[in-house]
Amino acid sequence: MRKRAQMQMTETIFVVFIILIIIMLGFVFYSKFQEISIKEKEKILRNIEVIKLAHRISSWPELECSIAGAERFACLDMVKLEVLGDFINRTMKTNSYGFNYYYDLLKNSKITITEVYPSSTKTLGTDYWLLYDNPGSTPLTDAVIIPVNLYNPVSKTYALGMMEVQIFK
Amino acid sequence: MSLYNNIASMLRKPRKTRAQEHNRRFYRKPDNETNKKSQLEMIGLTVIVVIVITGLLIVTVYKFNNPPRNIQKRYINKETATNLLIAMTNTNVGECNNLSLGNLLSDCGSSYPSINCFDYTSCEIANQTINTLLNQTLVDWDLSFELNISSPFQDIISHFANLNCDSTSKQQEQAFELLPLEAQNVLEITLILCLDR
Repeated sequence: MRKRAQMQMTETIFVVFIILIIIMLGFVFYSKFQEISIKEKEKILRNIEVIKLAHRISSWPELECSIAGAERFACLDMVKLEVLGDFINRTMKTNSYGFNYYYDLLKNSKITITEVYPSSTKTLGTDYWLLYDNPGSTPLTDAVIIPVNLYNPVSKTYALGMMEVQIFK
Repeated sequence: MSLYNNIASMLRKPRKTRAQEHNRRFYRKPDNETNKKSQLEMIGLTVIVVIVITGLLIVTVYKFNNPPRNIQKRYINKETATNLLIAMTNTNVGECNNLSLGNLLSDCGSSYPSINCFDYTSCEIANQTINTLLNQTLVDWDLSFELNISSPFQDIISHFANLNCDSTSKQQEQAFELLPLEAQNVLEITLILCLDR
């Protein structure tokens, strides 16, 4: 009788042990899947931040294109782009107040604007502008591309452009 | 007498072996009952394993067939589609006196199109420009899309599609723009991005 009880105890311990192993394996797999899903969500949330940043940029008085005081949606002034890009890059070299001001708003990021229609030669200053170039070590987001209008105040015409924003660590 | 003994020995109950006697004394249940119990346990275990595997299969199939609709991803694609439509309609077309694409489309969708640029109608110039714009943006980014432009006077003016995007797509984001025409009619531009293609 005692031998049989011992056998049953061993059997119970064995079953509990196996069940524990199965539960632990399940937990490991579940946490792995969760980790991947959380990382993906984090990346998408950061990409949304990039889109919000791009919208904010297009409504900056330094860049917006307004006709008779009326601001246009998702539109950048080409002349203002040129001037602001030059200013930021110049103050970045001297690390003066101008750069520090924009660093507070843009942190470690890279913002470029490319005209795709009518001209698409990617010539710096003509149809390609490097607005802010302060990349960090690791990219935190994908390069998010937002379609915008580029206003030429000289010819009073609108071109189609793409604003590319990427945030770094 | 010997015949009587033989018959008596045949009728007598057979003597138990030592093992059978041991089992009887130390184990309460006879062999048949123990076998039956272990068979039942085996069946129970198999049923549990089958249920667990079926559950896992159902969860896996459900997960793969219905990927979670991500609101954030939808937002990004909707923003891209909406911004692209707005930016496109505001863009000036150099080949047609710098008129905006929106103006050309409005003329094209009206009951009596009147704009002509170098022997091309407003519809031809607009379609050509849209084709160039889409090639440099959505086609270049390998996005699956469908663009439809329709007017109440001419039904469908333009239709552009890339990578088999159609209404059967399960995951799609839609943006639209309305341009005013004469007599309170509107020209409708619809851009659909198919995310599962």
